[in-house]
Amino acid sequence: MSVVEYPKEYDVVVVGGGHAGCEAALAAARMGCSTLLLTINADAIGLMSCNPAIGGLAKGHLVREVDALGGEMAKTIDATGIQFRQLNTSKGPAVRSSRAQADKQLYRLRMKQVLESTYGLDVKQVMVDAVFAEGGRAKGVDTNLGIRYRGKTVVLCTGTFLKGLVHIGLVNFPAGRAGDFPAMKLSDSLRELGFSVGRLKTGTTPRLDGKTIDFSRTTPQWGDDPPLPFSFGNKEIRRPQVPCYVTYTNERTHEAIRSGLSRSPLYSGVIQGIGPRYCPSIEDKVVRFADKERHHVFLEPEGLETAEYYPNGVSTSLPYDIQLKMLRTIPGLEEVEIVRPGYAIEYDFVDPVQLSPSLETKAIRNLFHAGQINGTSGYEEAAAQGMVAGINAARRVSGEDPVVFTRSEAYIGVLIDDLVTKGATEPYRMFTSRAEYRLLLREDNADLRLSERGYRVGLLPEARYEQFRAKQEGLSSLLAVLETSRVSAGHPLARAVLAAGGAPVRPGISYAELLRRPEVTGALIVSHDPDLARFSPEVVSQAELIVKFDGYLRRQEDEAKKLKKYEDLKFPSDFPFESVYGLSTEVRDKLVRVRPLSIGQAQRIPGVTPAAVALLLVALTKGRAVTQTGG
Amino acid sequence: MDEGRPRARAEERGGPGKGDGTTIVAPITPAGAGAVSLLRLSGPEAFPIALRMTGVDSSRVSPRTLSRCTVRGGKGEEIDSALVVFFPAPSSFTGEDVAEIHLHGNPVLVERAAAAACDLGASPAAPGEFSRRAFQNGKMDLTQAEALADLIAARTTGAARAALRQLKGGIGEAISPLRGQVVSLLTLLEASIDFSEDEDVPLLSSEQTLERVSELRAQVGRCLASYARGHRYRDGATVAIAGVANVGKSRILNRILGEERAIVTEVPGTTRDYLSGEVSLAGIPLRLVDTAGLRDALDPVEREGVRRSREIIASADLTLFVLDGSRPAHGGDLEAYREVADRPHLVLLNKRDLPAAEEGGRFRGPGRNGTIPLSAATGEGVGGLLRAIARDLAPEEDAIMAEAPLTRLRHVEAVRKADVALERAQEAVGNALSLEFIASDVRDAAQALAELTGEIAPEEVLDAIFSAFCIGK
Ligand SMILES: Cc1cc2nc3c(=O)[nH]c(=O)nc-3n(C[C@H](O)[C@H](O)[C@H](O)COP(=O)(O)OP(=O)(O)OC[C@H]3O[C@@H](n4cnc5c(N)ncnc54)[C@H](O)[C@@H]3O)c2cc1C
Ligand SMILES: Nc1nc2c(ncn2[C@@H]2O[C@H](COP(=O)(O)OP(=O)(O)OP(=O)(O)O)[C@@H](O)[C@H]2O)c(=O)[nH]1
Ligand SMILES: [Mg+2]
Repeated sequence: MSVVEYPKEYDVVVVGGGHAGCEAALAAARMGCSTLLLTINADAIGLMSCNPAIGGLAKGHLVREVDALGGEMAKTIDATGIQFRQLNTSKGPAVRSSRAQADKQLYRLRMKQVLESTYGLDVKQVMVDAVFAEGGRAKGVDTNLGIRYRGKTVVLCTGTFLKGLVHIGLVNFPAGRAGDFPAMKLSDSLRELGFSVGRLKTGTTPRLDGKTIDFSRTTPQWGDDPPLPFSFGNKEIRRPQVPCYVTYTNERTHEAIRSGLSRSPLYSGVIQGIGPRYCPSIEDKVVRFADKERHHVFLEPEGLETAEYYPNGVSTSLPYDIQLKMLRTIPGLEEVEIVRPGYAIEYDFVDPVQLSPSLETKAIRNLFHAGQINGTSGYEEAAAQGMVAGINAARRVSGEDPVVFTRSEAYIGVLIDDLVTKGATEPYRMFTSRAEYRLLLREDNADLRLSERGYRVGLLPEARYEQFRAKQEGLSSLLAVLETSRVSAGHPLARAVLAAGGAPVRPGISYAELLRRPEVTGALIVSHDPDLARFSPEVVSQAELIVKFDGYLRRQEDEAKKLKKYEDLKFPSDFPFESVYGLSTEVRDKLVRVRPLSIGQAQRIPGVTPAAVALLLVALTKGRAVTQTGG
Repeated sequence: MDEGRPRARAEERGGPGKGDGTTIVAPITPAGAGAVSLLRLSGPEAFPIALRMTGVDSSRVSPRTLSRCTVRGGKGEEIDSALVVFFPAPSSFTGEDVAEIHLHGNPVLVERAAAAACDLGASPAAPGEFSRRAFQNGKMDLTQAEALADLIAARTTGAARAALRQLKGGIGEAISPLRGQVVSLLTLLEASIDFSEDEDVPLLSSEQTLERVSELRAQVGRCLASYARGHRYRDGATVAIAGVANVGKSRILNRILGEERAIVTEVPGTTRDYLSGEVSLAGIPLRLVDTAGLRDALDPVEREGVRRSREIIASADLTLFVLDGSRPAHGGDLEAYREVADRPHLVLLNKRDLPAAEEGGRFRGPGRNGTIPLSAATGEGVGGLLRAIARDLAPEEDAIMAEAPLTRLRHVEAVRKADVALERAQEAVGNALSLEFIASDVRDAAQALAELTGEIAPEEVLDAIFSAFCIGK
């Protein structure tokens, strides 16, 4: 087919209007790049393929980080969320996470609207078939209509669409997700460019018709009152809130499931792709944990204007008849009708060890990958990567160094470092336990950690930056006050502590010392000293945390500092890992595959021993000596 | 004054070294190979530590020149006669202050000398750490780098073999189950943090958490005790004999040694200075020390003897406190006892061949079971005494590490770190801190033990969670 060049060359071409693509396109356009977003179906921009919810454990952290940098996800869910909850509140300040049910259609529409109203961003509906590259550089994309769009950089955010294959029982058909065209050619183009492409699998639940559900047989579960917004820029949530409903599977459900296993694409071996262990299908749960008598099912509304419900907990790829039989054994679902069946989907992904931490591919310059194409799963993981890829594509265009976040700075850093260092062997989801500096990476301080960066790269708007600065200054002045103010004899605070059941207060101790007592809160101190009334509750609780857990926070900070020096020891881009003296073949293969950027990253590759690291250090110096004598 | 001369105080030297501020120590010659073993110290405290270990006078040595010295341990015990050389920063292998001690080629000596350095504040170097520092300080040229690579490559295979040996019936195997338990506690904690939404994950109550942490600490404590024991097998133990004058201390020494080492007379205050003899008991080399009777002596010589006795008691692994069973205990005995009461000790009731005057029951110390009756004159009860000593120095019942006692300093450092982290976890539970803090401490403990058994990756915990619990909605 002859190729027609589109008359305009863009700075950044983003392929895919999912959660990664939207953030990538917005970031690039907001940073001043002429940006093109190409997607298969413009009605499906920002669509949630699976669960109508944003956030959750560790994912809420990612959303807040994206927001602190100036991204869109938090604002969109705040505008369209219909139930907000803080999870894990009793487990500690750092692992507390936000989650919200979204009105799925409103979410998508609002995201689309933001894209459309962004200056410098064009959105077009089209199927991309190939990356156009010359001399190891991406220069644009080719589409199924024979149009070539030129771009200085290309960001691929194609989600589950690459050779997507949907399975429902033993029936299967190509689709990007149920109801969407698949992208059948693009991954072949990537193979031709030399990428190693693998296959993963994920699945989703059937969607149910709400008017056929007997909610009286379930338990309603309401969100928090008042609902707390995700975005640092929002103070409140205005939309009416609705409940979810809890019900359970039972032995009859499990019996029905077992009766269909022989026609399960998973158990009959039809599915080759590897699925996520943390998100097992109901058939998986029943088989692997056979002695469990029941599994819970959350009935989550898909929106305010629809009757569809998402039964969280019964993801399945069993045959349609079994899905119906199994569902109808569940209390409240005795007469349920399925609107859309559950299914599994297999898709191509590009192993992320082929990326640098900027999310640019190592093989093809100016080509970036973000989202599920990198083997992750989840909207939030996708958005975080989209953000980073968008920023770095824009910085490539303006000739600036890429922005990379460290593991002690952000979950985004943990996410990307894990991906590019360890690769993906199953769909990767964020967990708080993946973050070794977990205590430092809290939802509440995401702005303090990242907003400076967001502003510097040109993403965070001025007003938000001012707000962040005010919080930062308030915090440091409050911390100073807490250290220097002392409780005098007869101070109202001393009486208040006694009244609250605390031990008597020795006159002369500082507020900070007092605050370290378990029974004393920041709010208590502030309410007994009029001078402190000017500090916002947000600042007070931030200071309380820092004072109370000083020892723990400091230990992690020290640890992070110690490791930083290894991050600063960088390998030159042409470092010959192949020929480093003394390495075992196994270690060498690993290094060649990952091509770490620094000694720090090398140390994190599984199987790289301390002795191997010493050898790398030697080789690094040697390299320097050579370049020194040579130059 | 010579600029490069080693000085006793580290602050005076603003060396350009760029380590992390710590001083590290490790043997740099392969264990057991060659007639000379080299121990290297590097870091800001390298000179002060080496000077103290070797007793060398800093004003008499010049840099990069070998000096004769005697290397001593923390208790002043002689470890080896050796040579020491100082390389001031930046002209040293690592670019930091470096001291190297040339010992006789005996791994035990090297280990003891390294331990002595650690007692003075050094920490054991990680594999490759000297080279890392050298590298960081820009100290390696092409040829050096080549040579070093050879060395490390050679050592790596050796280390791999040693690691393998350790895994098979050594430290790794002994520590593995313990670490396994730490990781399984961590798994439970992490599961209830990351998967709290899943009803299936059992939540640990704070009592259960505390119980498990305490149990782990007890085990870690036993490992550390095994180090003390492993250490005693290698370095021996000191047992002091103390008590007031004339209770029969010297005669007991002679009885145990089986020779007339000490002078025995009926005159109180016969022993003026301490005297010692060596025996081997249950495989432990014992140094038995007879001390001057504890009393307020007037005679200056005797007074000095008493002072030395006190020193010996303070550093002994065990003290035998002797009473004369043929007479009632008096105020002097009580006063003397006070000096040993806080130290590990056994109470002996001597002269059982004479008519008994009083039971020494009131001298029961913490954890000790009454007194040990004996007669130094007839030898009766001496067997029981020896058994009691052996039991005290090398208890068998808690021999978690019987096969592979912790002998290497790095092992002990690692286990100690784990202990500190677990102690913090205990406190955190006690103070009702939330789970994530407890998890952070338990993770630190697992990490510390991982230095003995291998890596801990977050994936390890996640894998355990996925296989144990039904996760996911
Ligand atoms: C069935 C199913 C089940 C899932 N289950 C879970 C789950 O349980 N938990 C979980 O966390 N996540 C789950 N997900 C994943 C979640 O939906 C994704 O991780 C997330 O949407 C990924 O975002 P993305 O931006 O990478 O891709 P997507 O949201 O998939 O968006 C991809 C976009 O790229 C466009 N596109 C693709 N190819 C081309 C092309 N060649 N040309 C032009 N445009 C193209 C598509 O039109 C689409 O707009 C599931 C997804 C599916 C489909
Ligand atoms: N009958 C009897 N006499 C003993 C026994 N042990 C020691 N004696 C006698 O007690 C006297 C003191 O013995 P030493 O061993 O010199 O006592 P000591 O505790 O070393 O005394 P000082 O060195 O003076 O502090 C000597 O006359 C010993 O013979 C014993 O078991 N039975
Ligand atoms: Mg004597």
